[in-house]
Amino acid sequence: MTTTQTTPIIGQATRRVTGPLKVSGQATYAAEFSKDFGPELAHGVLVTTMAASGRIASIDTEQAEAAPGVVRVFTHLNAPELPYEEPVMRPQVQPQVGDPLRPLQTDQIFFSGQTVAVVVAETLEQAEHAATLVRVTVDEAPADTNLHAARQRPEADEEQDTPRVSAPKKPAENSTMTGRPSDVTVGDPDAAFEAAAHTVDLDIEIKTLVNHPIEPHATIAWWEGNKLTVHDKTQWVDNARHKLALAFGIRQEEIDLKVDALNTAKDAVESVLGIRESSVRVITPFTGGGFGSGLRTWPHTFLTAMAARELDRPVRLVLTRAEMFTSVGHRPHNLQRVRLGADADGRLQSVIHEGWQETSVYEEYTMNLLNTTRMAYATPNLRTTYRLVPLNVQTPTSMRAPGECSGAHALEVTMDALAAEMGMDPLELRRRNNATHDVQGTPFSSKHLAEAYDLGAEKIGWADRPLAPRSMRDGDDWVGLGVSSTFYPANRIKASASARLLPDGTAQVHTAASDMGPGTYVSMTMVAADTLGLPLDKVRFALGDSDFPHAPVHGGSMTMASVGPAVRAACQAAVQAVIELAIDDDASPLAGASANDVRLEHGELIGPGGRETLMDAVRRHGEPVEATAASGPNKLQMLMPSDYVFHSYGCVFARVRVDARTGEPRVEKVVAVNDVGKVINPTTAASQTIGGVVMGIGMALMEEAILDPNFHRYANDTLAEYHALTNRDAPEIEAHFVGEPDYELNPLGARGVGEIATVGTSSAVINAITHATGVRVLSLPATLDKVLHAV
Amino acid sequence: MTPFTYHKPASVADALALLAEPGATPLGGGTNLVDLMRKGVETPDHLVDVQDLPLGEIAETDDGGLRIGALVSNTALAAHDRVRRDYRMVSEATLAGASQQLRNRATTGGNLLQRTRCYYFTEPGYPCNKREPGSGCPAKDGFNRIHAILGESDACIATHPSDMCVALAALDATVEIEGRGGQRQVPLVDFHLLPGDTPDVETVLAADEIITAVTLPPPSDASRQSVYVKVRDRQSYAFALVSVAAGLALGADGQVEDVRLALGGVAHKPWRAFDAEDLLRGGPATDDAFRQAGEAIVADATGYGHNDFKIPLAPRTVAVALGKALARAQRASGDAR
Repeated sequence: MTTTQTTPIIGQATRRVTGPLKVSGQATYAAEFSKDFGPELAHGVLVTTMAASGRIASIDTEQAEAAPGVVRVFTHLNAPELPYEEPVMRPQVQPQVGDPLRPLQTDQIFFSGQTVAVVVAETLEQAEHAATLVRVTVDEAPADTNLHAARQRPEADEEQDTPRVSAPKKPAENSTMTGRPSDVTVGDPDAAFEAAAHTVDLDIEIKTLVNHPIEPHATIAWWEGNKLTVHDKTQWVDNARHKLALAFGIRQEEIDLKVDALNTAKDAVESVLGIRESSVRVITPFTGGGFGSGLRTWPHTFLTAMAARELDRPVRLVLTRAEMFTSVGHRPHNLQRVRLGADADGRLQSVIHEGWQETSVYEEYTMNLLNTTRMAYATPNLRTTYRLVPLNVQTPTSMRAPGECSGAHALEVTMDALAAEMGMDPLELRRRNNATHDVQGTPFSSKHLAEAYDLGAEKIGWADRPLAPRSMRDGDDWVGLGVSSTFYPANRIKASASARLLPDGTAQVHTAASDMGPGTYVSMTMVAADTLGLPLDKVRFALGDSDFPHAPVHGGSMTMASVGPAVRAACQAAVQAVIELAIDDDASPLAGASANDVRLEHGELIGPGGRETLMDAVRRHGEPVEATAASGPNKLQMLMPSDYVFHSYGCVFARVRVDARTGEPRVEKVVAVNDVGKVINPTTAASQTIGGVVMGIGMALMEEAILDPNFHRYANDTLAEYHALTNRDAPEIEAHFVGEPDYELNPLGARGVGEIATVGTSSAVINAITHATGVRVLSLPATLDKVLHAV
Repeated sequence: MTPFTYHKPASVADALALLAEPGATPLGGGTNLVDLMRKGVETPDHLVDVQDLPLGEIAETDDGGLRIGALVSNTALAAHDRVRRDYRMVSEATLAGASQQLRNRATTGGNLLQRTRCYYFTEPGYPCNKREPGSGCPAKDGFNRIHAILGESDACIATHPSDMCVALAALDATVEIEGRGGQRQVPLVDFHLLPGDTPDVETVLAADEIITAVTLPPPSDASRQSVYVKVRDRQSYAFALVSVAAGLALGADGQVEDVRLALGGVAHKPWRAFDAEDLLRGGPATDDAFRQAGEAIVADATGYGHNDFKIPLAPRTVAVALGKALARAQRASGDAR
């Protein structure tokens, strides 16, 4: 008999199936596919501009072209003109308004660090050297990167086609990331604020943060006739395929239809067209982090494919760490003003949250800066106002909890200020304002925030916390405890997968999803094994190939909630196909039964007349049994009509120490408690939470891309000077989960962990520093110079 | 990276002959030079890899001091028994620098010769008087949070990035230099230069000379009862905002008998605080006295905006370091009793 699985898999702590590959160096990342090529692989290196605005006056490539090993130097003067079509309906990972950079198609300079040439040579070293020989002169125009000054200017006229640079602008209608309005007013927030017993009014600043996955972005591209194949660091192989096809004008009729296909099951469209093989294929089995930098397809990817086509040979291009600051997006600099008004009991009467956020001068990047405020607490009166400011920076992009992270930070720091103003315990203030429904009155599908508060308070020892700041001292350190709520919407969109059951007793499951680190490989293997009743080691799960069934973007914390149900559906469809075979097979104990009367239990097909294992039936059939299935809504769940709001909640507690002599802040312990619905794999869910907390501490204490005010360029563009957290800075971190499966969202009951994990940590740390020192740091990061005067 | 020729001589004499070529630069662990070559900041025509030279030993000197070969790795130096026991601040300072991986590669001589991490120096797109004399200094009205408050000039406000050198400066270390004309010895405090009008000239080392060793004088109570305190934005792999190497010895009356004090992160060179030592010597070993000595160090300091906080931070850090050195001195005298 074939092996079956009789004990539960889902919900059990399970190690990564890719762990051995990763630690032994056998997991191949995009740039490492160079091992598949010989000397025909050419190497591309970018030339970027120092100037932040203007037009290229001249590019002298003579010296570079004469340098040893140089194959070609591409500039806007000699690069082929490419279609760079835009889809009619843009995927949500790219701004809905504006024109994406079309590299080397223009002489215009929009920001410092913009690519102006690509040098391709036989070796990387030759290309690097030749790149230093390209001489670029720019007719410079005045550049502006000053968000503070721009915030004070009158708003740009909405009717103007070209907005004034450097003035606040309301995002175009329906152009926001989630398609939700940017500005919302409920009740009369101004009057309620005026009338409130207690009010606070804070201005908060969050500087530019850069995603900085450890794997740099990289592309290897080659053409066979009209077919383009690419290894690209991406969080979405399907979108990379789509964008590349559009850029090069490949199979226009196919592409037009696939505009819609991005939000539906790819297989459906392919069957309509009768196309089994696409003319663009993106293969990325491993993605070494991303945090959002791999959502879009960026200029260097198109340039690599362009060079490969022009030179008729494979080309490899890897971004340098400095280029990672200006090539693949960033979390935008933003300013926020938060006003809170509460009655004498601490019940919120008015919430007014305004945000000003930088974008580029060529695209309107929007993020969910104020959306969480509308979901956070019960209040009868609320207003959110969101403004974009075009500046001479690259277009920002989504970085882990894009908007939610920054917006929740400001709201949660202001909540603490309100508690301080009232002399109330900040946790109690949050408890009193715990909402049962959103501001429009729609109830939550499932919410266990009160339990999260209880558990977190117990684990951090909140009961012993004195109310007054500067009242905990240990040796030379001020000690403080802080809390923050966490928020992140739960989402889901259509995904598809295929399941193939083999006569040898194993199963193969494929989907074009990604795994940038959360453990998609192991969690999907678990879902498939659980559905089929097979041990984990009998399931081979593969992802990251655009020839696999369509998967949505690996972002928005929705891979588990979207791809998981698709994997389950594909496995169920394959089981159904086996049942159909078995009941028609005289050799089967199920022969003659009605398909409806046969069920699968622990890997066994059980019918009225007998039973056999699923894989025994497949073995007897002698050939693979395969099925493809899709699952989920065509649009984001949050945009679908629903009786419920799907949203995750939780809290973070932090204990910090601040050196009373030097002001150095250090986080000593963090307790994160989140309600994320069903936890599929406690091991990877805890790992994601710990990673999110680490990122949040970095945001609170040290991360900042510093724009030089005169050159409009990031001054600290190395990982030595852009400080991300090291292990030594990382404290003891506890990750806990509360709640119950959210079956209203999807059949697995999972809501996703990745982004709520990083929301709230920064505010909990800042609030703890305030409790320790009495200083409320309003501009991140909270480096020691911001508290030194007071310690 | 600009093309270069690579040489790996086996003797000091061969190395010196190669370094006599115009455009030749010695390569040690490469932890700083290679980065700068990749950025196009350093463009040597000839790299003279000195790693095969017989300069990798730590040996006792006749007078009981230590001679640290120029190629001794940071890791080996920090872990050396006598360094840990007799020159504690050197071990602590070295361990406070960089990361374990870098310390495994980085050499003692290379540590002395590392270049500033000023953002405007390490990116060739900016003007920089250090990189291109006469082109200007964008740090002064740019982002200067990590820059100097002492001894800077109109031409340059960069800092020296070393931790190890701060401790070496405090302990009167000597730099052994060898050129084709012979050997010479330079006190470490005179080895690095203030920027003045020529910030491109950072040390007294001539282009055709190499460092062969750094010598520590015989240990003293102050060198044993010593400490290195580094204040920085993260706990590992970050340069000092302010750092202090301090050593203290007490007389029978509990007064300060001997004191060593040097600061990092504040100037173009490791900043030995001779005047503050004079203030402390013979006086009370109290927090007040320590703080006053620190205040004296920054009495004429200049801030450039973002780095203003270093002016109050420096005396606070001096007091922290001297306080820790005092605790070690008191523990030592307690042990002796």
